[in-house]
Amino acid sequence: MERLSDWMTRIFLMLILIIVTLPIVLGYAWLLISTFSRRTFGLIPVNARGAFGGFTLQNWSFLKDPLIWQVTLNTLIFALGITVGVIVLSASAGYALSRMNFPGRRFTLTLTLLLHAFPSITLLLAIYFVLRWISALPVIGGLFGYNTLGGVTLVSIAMQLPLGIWLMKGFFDHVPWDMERAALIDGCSRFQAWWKVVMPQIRPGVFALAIFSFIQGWGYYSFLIPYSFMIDQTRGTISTYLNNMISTTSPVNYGQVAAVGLFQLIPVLLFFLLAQKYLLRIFSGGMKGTA
Amino acid sequence: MRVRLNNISKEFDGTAVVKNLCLSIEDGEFMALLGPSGCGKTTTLLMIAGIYSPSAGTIEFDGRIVNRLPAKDRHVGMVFQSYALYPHMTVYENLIFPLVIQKKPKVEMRREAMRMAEMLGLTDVLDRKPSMLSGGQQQRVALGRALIKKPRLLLFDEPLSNLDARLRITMRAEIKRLQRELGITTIYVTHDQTEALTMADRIAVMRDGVLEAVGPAELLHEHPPTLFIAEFIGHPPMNLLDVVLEDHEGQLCARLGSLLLEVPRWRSPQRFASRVKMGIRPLHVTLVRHGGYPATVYLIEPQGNQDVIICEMEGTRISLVTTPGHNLAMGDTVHIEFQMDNVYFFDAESGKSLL
Ligand SMILES: Nc1ncnc2c1ncn2[C@@H]1O[C@H](COP(=O)(O)OP(=O)(O)O)[C@@H](O)[C@H]1O
Ligand SMILES: [Mg+2]
Repeated sequence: MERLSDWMTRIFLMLILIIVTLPIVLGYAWLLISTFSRRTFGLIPVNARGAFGGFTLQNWSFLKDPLIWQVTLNTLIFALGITVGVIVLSASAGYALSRMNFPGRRFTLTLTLLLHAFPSITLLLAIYFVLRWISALPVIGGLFGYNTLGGVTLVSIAMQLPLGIWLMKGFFDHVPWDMERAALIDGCSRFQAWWKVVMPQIRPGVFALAIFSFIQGWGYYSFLIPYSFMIDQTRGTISTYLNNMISTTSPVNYGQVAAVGLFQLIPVLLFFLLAQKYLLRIFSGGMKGTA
Repeated sequence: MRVRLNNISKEFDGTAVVKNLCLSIEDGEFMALLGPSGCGKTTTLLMIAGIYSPSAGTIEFDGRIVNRLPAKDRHVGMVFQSYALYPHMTVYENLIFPLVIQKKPKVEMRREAMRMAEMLGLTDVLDRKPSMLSGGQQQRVALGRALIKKPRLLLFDEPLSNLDARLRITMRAEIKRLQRELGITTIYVTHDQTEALTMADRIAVMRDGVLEAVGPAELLHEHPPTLFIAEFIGHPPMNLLDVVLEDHEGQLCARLGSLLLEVPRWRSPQRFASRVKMGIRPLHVTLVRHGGYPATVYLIEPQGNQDVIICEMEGTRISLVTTPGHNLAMGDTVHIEFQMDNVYFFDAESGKSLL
């Protein structure tokens, strides 16, 4: 009897999961099918007369456009820049907030949490002025000013930092004090203790944050920020390329838009598949001691 | 190495955790720092190690003030209660870590690690991660890591409290033997009086951040200078009874409720105190067949080779130690006698010994 009820529960849970994920799965299915079709009727590819058929590679012709490779490279640089920036800055700030006692520590912590909850879109105008101001500086302006990849990377790093710092602090909080003390007594300088003993303990956490930042940089941030602060097509990202495609060609070729979208999605999907174990740490917050 | 703590204090956010501690440890000495948990033992140890800096006072190593010397330059080895092994390194890597930091040659690392592993019985587990080891093995790795750099001072922070009773006794003996062999000055923090009594040359007893007394185990046991120490050292703990001292025709007597106990002259308090506590160890309270004072058995704790009997008399509880086989039950009436040659008197207010 118990066996049976067990099975019932399992089937029931499966059903719920299937129902909930169905729209998402259908969405992806449509995305995939439409990139290889002239038109679709629902999920069914159709030809000009409305009959089944009409397969084509036409939608993927954008791959021959040199610009797509330029913006892909840009997106990669952008996402990697965010990843490195977020990791380095959050690791330092998180360590300080977790381990050191300094004036303003509580305030910084509160501020970090507040900023995390703050909708970054409201800052766009202010950031515009900041970037403009940076542009006016010699050398730095050319690298990190308005309408530069460096500039939008910097802004995106800033937006991602509150979460990064907060997570990193959490990871550091889980490393026992005694371990660090032991390192100091064993002859480490403060920096060595951090680098050789503390950081390896939280490597899975750092790894998770890195992947998360990369995916965020590749997808989420790669539109709004570059779209707002970049004029040059060639300096843009895949997202802005996509946006351009929608707003300049009329009528919009949705098959092609879907193809570019899928193209952008591929690395993210791969990442998710390879790293979902680590990514879970971000959401479960912190980690247990690892062997 | 000689260690001197001159009037050191430590405050955390305005709360004094260690107060005006003065203590000197001789070269090669095994000093136990004994006290209940929360009394500031770890804080004191971490100040000596160079992790905390004292809020006031100085720490001297061989006559040199080291207050500003960073931990890494103090030549100290420390074993933590949690062992604090590095979980991402193997046992071998844990052992050689201090040498890696000192950039010692590889051959030397290997040689020293092997020597340590042999001495501590770790040769079979060198390639394992600490999480794969038993508590006792982890303890040994921690000890080896502290010893491998040939420290001039060894610090232990309750190293045995996470081990089971049997292992604790083995490790106790092993640590003591090692310390004797190597002759390294050692400060050993514990809240377990048995550890302190069995291992240390001298015991420093701490209470609420204050050093109560320092001395060899026998001295603290035979002549407890304060109530706290009388209560804390010795097993089972000393009976402490509220008494009133009275003079009866030249004979000093201690009144315990309606009982009148004659105090021998050489055990008489040397100073006056308005409220007095009389201390007597359970060993010095005996069951007698005839005479003595009646008491009711409250609880019997068999301990194998002896029984501890707690009885009630005159509204207070008194414990005594006796050989097993008395066939007593709770509620029985027994007759007890106090060996007044072994009593102590304390000022109930200041806690100071009156002898
Ligand atoms: N870093 C710290 N910050 C604030 N209070 C502390 C700190 N370390 C210890 N304390 C406090 O100091 C007291 C003594 O602690 P500790 O030295 O660890 O005692 P013990 O080792 O004797 O158990 C405790 O009340 C503890 O809460
Ligand atoms: Mg402690």
